[in-house]
Amino acid sequence: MNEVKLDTRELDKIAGKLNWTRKQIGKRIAFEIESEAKQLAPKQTTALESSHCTVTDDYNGYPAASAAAKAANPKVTTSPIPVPTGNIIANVGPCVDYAEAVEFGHLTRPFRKTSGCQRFVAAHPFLTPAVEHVAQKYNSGAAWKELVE
Amino acid sequence: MNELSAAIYSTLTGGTALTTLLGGSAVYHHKAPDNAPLPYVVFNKQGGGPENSHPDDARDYVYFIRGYAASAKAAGDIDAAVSALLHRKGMTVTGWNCFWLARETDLESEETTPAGVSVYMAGAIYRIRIV
Repeated sequence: MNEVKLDTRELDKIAGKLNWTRKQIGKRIAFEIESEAKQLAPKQTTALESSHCTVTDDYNGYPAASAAAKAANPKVTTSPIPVPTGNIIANVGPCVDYAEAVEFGHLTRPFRKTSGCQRFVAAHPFLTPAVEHVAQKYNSGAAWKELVE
Repeated sequence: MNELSAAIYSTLTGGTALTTLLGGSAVYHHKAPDNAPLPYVVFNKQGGGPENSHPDDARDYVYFIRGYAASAKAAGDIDAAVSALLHRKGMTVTGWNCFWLARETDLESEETTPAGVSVYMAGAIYRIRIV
């Protein structure tokens, strides 16, 4: 009779060492996404890059990020990142008002009164790829390995 | 990935309900040409890449696929037609096997052109996994 045995010694070692709480891991993931998104954000004035921040129930990166974005480009306006509630551990993302248009693409803005023609600006995703990249790190186990070693 | 972009384009332009709404095959990769007449569909890769979780070269991508139209309803109808073609459906990708295709995040917006005309967008993020 054939028999398959699963050697769980390595898994047991990992489980025993995993002393991180859900909140600690959640915050770690949020800051990793912030870091990745900053690297991927298109850079002209660096306001978009600087405006990325993480907000948890005990940490608020918005004031510093907002100040940094306005220092990079005084014309930008920013909106606070909401403080997470319920099961949400952290909110992360850029706080400048035009971030969504960069991420998802947009039509030319009304103030560009050139010929009245309609132009479409392609999406330059930075936050979605950051989330996907960090998710793949955790799905592949690479990040979990870092957590226990 | 060119094969995946071609597969999305072929799937969308092969949908009769969608092309009827568009009045043709106005499906564009990355962005619509300047002054392209409404309505149309635009798609682009929003994120993802190799999974690196097992020896197979599996890929996990998210694509942002949306319709633009002169009214919110028309944009919504296009979005629904796109969803009917893609959500939990199979897709032929040359050289690859698509084993997962699902709608994940709905998105919509309204923008005003320099001429003062409102343009409505309705679409979604679709996760596409191939191996």
